[in-house]
Amino acid sequence: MIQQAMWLARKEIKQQFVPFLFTMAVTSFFATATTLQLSMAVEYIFGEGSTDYKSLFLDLIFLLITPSFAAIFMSSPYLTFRTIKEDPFSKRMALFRALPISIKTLALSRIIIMLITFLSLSIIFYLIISIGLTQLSPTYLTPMEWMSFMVFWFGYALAIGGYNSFIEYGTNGRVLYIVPTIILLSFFLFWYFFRRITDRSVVELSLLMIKEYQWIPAITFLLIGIAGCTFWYYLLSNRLRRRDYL
Amino acid sequence: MNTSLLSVEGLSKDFKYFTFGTVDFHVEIGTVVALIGENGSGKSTLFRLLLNILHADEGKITFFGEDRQVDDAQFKQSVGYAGNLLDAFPYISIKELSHMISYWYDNWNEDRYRYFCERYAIDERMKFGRCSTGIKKKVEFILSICHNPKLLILDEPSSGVDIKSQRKMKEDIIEFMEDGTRSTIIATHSVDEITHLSDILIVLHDGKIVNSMNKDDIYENWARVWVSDLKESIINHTNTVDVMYDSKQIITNHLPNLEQMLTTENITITHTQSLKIGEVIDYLIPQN
Repeated sequence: MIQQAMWLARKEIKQQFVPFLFTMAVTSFFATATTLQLSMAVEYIFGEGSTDYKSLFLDLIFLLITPSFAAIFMSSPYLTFRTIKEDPFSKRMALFRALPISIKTLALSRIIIMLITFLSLSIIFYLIISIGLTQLSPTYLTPMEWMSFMVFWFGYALAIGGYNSFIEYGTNGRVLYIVPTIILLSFFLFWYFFRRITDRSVVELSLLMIKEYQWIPAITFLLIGIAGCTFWYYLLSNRLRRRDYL
Repeated sequence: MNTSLLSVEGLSKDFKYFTFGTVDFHVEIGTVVALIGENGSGKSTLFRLLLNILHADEGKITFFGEDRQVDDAQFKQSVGYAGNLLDAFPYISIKELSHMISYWYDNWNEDRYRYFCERYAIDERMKFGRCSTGIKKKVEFILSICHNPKLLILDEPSSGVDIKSQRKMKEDIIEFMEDGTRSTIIATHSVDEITHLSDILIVLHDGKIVNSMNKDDIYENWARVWVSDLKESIINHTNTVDVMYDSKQIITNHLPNLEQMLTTENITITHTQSLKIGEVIDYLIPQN
């Protein structure tokens, strides 16, 4: 089963090679923009930097964008409203469903695609930021603390990111557009109240937490990430067993 | 000996604006079933339910006496389906598409695939999305038949296909059926396909089977009868399908029964003519 799922995942990613490259390019752009803001945030929290940095932008990147690394978000279904009507992900699944592929293999292949995409984009994202930060603010975070910070957010995004596979293959084109819109609106509401209550942004708090507890939050979130990934696999399997594909 | 290849019992599904079923039917080994009906009558829906592309609300499907749900993947090893699903991959070539599909079949015959590509003049380098409707249909047909399935399910296979290739498809389906161990269900609007390929006709209307009959029975029983007189008892006879008063013609779906009744009523048959399948279909499909 694993071998078959791997084969299918590799095949599909190969088919999506050009959109994958574009997604990598956009991720690099996000990483570059994040580096500067994160460097300013680190200076502000641990040094004597100014408060004049975009905390909303950082929270948006880490809370919303990093889970999106689980999807090839520069592929055509994400870039055109035709997706709402044409539902390309379900159509692909309809073909697979007509072939002798078990539901478990099908669901696993989706999770493998998600993981390959997520790992590739996360590596690019954090690599660019790591290189950038060593140039900009080398003294405030030790390499270990920076590693913990990355693992912390990697774990978070891994836990949430599986929802992309569920939405893409478990629902339809309309939901693919509606859910992100709801999430975005919820994020702004959450962010507004969070900021008012704690007087900090989420990323600021995560930096403080890492400074104080070192690896503990990172390992915790990594485990949550792995558990989340497993959860999405079972949820997707269940959904694929019951859903209509056309 | 079990001669039933596929058995469908109580299959149904509710959609927002359409209710499919309840549908019951059997497909015997060695037979070709033609599924006919107007557009939107539920032919494609039936196929999608058979293949679990749509999830049925109720019903049981057995394949060679085994519940299909027990080993869905194994069931699909024995089924070939051509039903407009390949459009989901317009950005890959026919060669890539065939590779992606053939991988899953234990019995895939690559030589047979090559033979068919040559026979239907398929350029494998073409991206599927750039192919004409006819070529897409031919590719679907080829990909559905090369793993030596026990059951071939074809959804309007020749729609948009050139005449020469339609003839080839017909030949290939006949050849596929030749050893008598396989079955085919074909949804079609082509009288020619029904006439030359099918053994059984199933008529779907509004998601329900309204007629199901052996093609030979149609030739034996359906007829146009010219009579000396038209009486109420004949007009209202259960086997009278249509009456043309001016020319005193009766269309019947059971000539022996009608003949018996006419004899009882002392009405003379002046002339009898068998109906063509195309004419019968007009009567089988209810008018909306």
